[in-house]
Amino acid sequence: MPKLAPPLSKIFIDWDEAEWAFDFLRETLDRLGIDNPDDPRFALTLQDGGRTLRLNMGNWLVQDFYASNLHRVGWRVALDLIHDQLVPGMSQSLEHLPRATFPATV
Amino acid sequence: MAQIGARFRGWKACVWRKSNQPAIAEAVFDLDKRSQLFSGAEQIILPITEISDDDESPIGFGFENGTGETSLQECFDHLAGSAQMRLAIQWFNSLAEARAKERLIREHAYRRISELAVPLKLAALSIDDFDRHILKIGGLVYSNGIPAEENFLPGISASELRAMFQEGKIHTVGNCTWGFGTATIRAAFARAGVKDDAVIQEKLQFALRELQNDACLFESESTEFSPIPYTALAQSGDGAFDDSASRQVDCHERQITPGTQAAGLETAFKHTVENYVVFTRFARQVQSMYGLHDLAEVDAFFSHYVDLSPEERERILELFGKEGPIITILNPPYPLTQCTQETGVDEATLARWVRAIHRKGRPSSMARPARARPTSPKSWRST
Repeated sequence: MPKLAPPLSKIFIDWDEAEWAFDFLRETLDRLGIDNPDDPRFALTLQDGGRTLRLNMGNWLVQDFYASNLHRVGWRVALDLIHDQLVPGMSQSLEHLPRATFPATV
Repeated sequence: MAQIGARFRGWKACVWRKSNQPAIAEAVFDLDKRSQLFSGAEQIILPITEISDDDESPIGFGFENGTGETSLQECFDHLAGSAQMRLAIQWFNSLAEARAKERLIREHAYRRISELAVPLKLAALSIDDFDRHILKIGGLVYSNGIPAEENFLPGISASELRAMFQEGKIHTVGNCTWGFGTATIRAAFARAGVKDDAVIQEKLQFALRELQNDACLFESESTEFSPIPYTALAQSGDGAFDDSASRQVDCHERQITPGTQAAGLETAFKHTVENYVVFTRFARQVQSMYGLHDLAEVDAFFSHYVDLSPEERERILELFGKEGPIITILNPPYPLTQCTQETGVDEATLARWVRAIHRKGRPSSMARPARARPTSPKSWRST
């Protein structure tokens, strides 16, 4: 795989990881009912000096991708989950997130 | 995720949409654009967005009456957990029929207010309409416009009242409340992108002044308003619920003294708005502490109780107070200072989190994973 270009290289370690993250974003947006990039109900923003990629929906944070050096404890991904609404099997799958951590459910 | 999607289905735009990165968004959906973005083949400018907490700060709750007397907030804080409040809630909980009826009335009133409390509609209201629909003490009128003789039709049951609403025989007037009407207006301004407290007040005052020019209701009175001192609320026991206390937070029951009008009006309106905001915060506290269903029910309780004569209130408190309050406080106040001591998180940070929770309606927290060692991205995709 070719080298990942900035500014996404600040967040993702390599092309594979970025590819996975964008697939994951796509799946999340699908589940949120967003089917095109022009839907104004969501926003993808770059924060923390370009070291965080954030998916916002309405006035909620839905998903964060962090640079590996952003959080000392190693957080890489934050998800907004409502535990009663988890897709069956998803909590098990989360344990296999690559180099990722995830937030507590709310 | 579907639930979150449903929550925001009716939204017109994300509040941070102006900071959206369209190139990234397109790359999420379009694989070709994704490759271009990843490889840097196409020079895509990605400005960094820094969203500060200040951008999201809601309207503040600070209130100073400027007289050096006890503030309304302090009075309410004292009142919320008092024995008198617990006895009054205990009494209210015993009135299933009245409770259902009062709540029904307020639900209708709130729906009406939410229809009107949109800035454009608000500006188009006459002062009479503004007064009747938003600021006036709540009541019921028949469909022909004749006020119900007894404000909330005491002889009518909750089911009968519901039927009358459904058949369009009656409707509500006024906000039926001390505070939620104007709080709703403020929320409407906030949704319209106006967040600054002073700006909101200025706009409300402007709207009111403009409306006065149409109807001249206040001009004809040639008066100024004198905010009532707040010392009455500082008293514990019966004084907290006396008539003067309830009047302070109701614009319609203002004290009027002769004099110039304009400056007095702004002062009075500012005090009214501030009172409304403080009261709304207090009402949420009461709702949480006593397990009331929603703010309509809190409002039903207060109105029901305050509308009683002092003698009736005294009798109720005696009746329920013989053995002391038995009601349990579900969520006792937990001061931030105490939380700071127990957690080590500074108070300013905690206050910011509390504001965020109030604004968004839910907390968002993070924790370390139970197991988080690297695995292949493909293994995630294949599950």
